[in-house]
Amino acid sequence: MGEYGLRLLLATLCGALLGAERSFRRKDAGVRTHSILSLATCLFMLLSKYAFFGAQGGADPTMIACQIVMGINFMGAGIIFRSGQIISHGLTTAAGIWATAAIGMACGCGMKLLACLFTLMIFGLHLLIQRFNIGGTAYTPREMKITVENTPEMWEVLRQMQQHYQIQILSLRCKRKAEGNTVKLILQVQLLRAIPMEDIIHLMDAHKEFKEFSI
Amino acid sequence: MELIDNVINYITNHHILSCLVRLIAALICGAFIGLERTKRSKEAGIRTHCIIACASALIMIISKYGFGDMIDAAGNAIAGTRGVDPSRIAAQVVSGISFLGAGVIFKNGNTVKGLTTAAGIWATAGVGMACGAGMYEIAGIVTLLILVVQMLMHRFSIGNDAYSTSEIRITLVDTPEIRAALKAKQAELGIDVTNSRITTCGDNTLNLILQVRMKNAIPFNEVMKFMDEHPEIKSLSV
Repeated sequence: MGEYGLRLLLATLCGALLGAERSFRRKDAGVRTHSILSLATCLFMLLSKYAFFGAQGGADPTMIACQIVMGINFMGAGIIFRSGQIISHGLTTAAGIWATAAIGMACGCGMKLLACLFTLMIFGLHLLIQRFNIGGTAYTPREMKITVENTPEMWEVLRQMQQHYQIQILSLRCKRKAEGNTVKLILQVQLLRAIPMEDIIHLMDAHKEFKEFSI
Repeated sequence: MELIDNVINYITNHHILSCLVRLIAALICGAFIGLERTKRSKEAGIRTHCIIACASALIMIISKYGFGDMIDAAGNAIAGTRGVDPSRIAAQVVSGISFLGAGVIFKNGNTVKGLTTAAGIWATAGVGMACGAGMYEIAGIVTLLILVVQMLMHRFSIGNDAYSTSEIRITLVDTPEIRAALKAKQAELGIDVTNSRITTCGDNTLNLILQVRMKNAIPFNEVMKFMDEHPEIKSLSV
């Protein structure tokens, strides 16, 4: 019994560690989600292995465990956002959810040391990429929609904004609007840091040519 | 003491009572987990969690004990059948319950709501299964751990966990005073803007639709007070 409790506790803690990293980066799935998922997966693994003593017939101790792998899909699907042809964001977090499930399964199985090492590896990976921005993957993908008057000054303003906030443009869709000389730009971008809202309001105030700005 | 021993003996000897105890235990565990969610005003409350736990317990009982008549007295499978795997139906609970979890998740533009509730529902099904299998201690430990995790995170919030998402719509006349007032209010309530859509609609009026993360819900009277104090605000919805 103590052994089961230890496995459950370890799963929760490992999940909490990964969740803390995601939470710190202001992602959707935080400490609670990760630790509850890890705990639930560990529980299912324990049930898979030890819940069928005394039943009639030959129980397969891997049955429940293999359905965990399928059952975790709903969480991943809920976290990934798609916008048109591009995956908007949430991919890394969804992968982390899958890893958390694996950690819970390892703990439930009794492979406690392996689970701990794996947790530390993933945590280290996150820290490394964030710190050194290897491969430029520390960005957050977002979608920006701007409706603006089509003048050279505005393009200059936009260009300065892109430089200032280090915005990487992945794709651009430009639609001409019926009234006036306005265009609607739909951009898939990657931002290193968020654009504060007061900057946006300030921008719209300073340049009345901006009709709409959404990020 | 002897009375309790007698009661326990009676229950274990009569299978149906033993099952009843397991179902009730699942109900209680589900109630505890659901109680915490109700207190935070989430959609999936006590009843949802109770029913999920109970049903999972029942399915586990069926999976484990429901096929006893497929095995004859000698312990062999009846001719024509293959033999029973008591874990098979129980395994499908894990993937089958995910539809309920998926239904609790709300995606809105760039934000998600309900991830923790969905995870909790998945875990509640697990707790129900543990009760159904008769592993009361494990069920108790998991319930306790879930409650601890939930309550601990409300005390010591790290990063994103302190916040809940919602949407604020404001239509206002743009003046420096109202901007300062909004900024002060944002700092006071600890509101974090994740998505914004700002539209200018003639006469210096701005229409803002914001997806925000805030620590506590804004009380109704504060909303009214804010609108009273600042007549530049044409409409405000939280």
